[in-house]
Amino acid sequence: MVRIMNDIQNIMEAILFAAADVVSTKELSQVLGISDLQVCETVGELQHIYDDGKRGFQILKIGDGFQMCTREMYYEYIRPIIGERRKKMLSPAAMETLAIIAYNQPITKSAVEHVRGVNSDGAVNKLLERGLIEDVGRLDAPGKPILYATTNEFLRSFAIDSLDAIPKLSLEPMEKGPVDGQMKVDFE
Amino acid sequence: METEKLSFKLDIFEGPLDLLLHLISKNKVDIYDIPIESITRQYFDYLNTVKEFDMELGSEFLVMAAQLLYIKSKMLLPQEKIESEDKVDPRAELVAKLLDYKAYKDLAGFLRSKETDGDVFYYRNKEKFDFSSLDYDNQSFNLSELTHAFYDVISRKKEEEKTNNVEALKTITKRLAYSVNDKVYEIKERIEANGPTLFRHMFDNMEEKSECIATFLAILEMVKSSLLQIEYSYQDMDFILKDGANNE
Repeated sequence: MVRIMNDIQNIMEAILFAAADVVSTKELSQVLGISDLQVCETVGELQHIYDDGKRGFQILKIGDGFQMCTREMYYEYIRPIIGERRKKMLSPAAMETLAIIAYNQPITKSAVEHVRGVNSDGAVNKLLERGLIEDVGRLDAPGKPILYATTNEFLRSFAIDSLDAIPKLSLEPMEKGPVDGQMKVDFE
Repeated sequence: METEKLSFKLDIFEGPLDLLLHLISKNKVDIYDIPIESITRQYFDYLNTVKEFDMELGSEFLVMAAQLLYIKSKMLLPQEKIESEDKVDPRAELVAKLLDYKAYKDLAGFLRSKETDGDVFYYRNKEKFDFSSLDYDNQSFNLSELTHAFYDVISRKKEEEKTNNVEALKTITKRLAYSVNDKVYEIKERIEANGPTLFRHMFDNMEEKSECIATFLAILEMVKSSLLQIEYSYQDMDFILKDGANNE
């Protein structure tokens, strides 16, 4: 049993190394013939081994899957080799738009504009260009507007392991009662 | 009043909601009980300031201006008989929008604080595998083609080997630089002496690539400044270079 457990760990390590992308829990459980829970447990064990040894790489949870990357503590040594990342900061408009999409995905551009009160073409295009959001289909409504959602790249670049990790909307309680046309926010 | 205006000039707002939130927080008023009269006045002050500076202003700002005026007028009108509970504050819709917007603005702030957090992790790039099948149809080979190609390679190899040792030393000992300028004079002298010359003969006895390039550039330069004339001769299957001045 122990041997088999080790095998699964090793196979998972090999898959994550080879994929060089997010591998979903579902894919892993199918290939390995184990349950989703076992996948998470095995990843946990691998993470533990890597963390204990302060290995150069580690496994991060990204959305509904996992991906290998380098350990942050070695960042300053990798940087001179790979080169400085040249990243332009997002404009306030793009950041607002990203926040709205992150909380309400999938969402149309006009819904974003409704919240912001201004045209958001430029902001949406910028986010698409940066790969932070993507087109995930069309809403079954007049004009079949495009629906946008955030990408794994969004999770990676903001170091957020899943959308659940984003704090809940801090809406102040509405004393006067909700008004029509309100967005649907999960208050829990 | 003056100072108020000054502070406006420095702020660029993302939209009318952004501007209104700024006004509300600046005046330290309750968002649920906006003093519509004074906020509207300040809103219009801002629009006027922007106009003074000739800045571009989105139409959204004007829509909001109209909305503010509408709310203001509604609040000024005496309420007719209060029939039942459906008396709605005319500001309610605006308040809801502002709260919404404010919540997202805060979240944008949260994201901003994490904007560079991902920078410390390096991910491998995904390898690109080409899974499309190769096309092996219509292949036909001829044995003599192959032998030809082989002899070609062999003979070239031998030649290279012969010259390689000498060449290797040459490049170490000398590295001639050919200037386009020198070549211009050379070509000029040559054509004056020999008359019209074929293009290919211009490169006779040239061993180095850089010399050929310099010569070619010189020819182009001379044609451009009409020191040379170029004609194509079908008889010789080549260009003929002539003195440009001769042919006036």
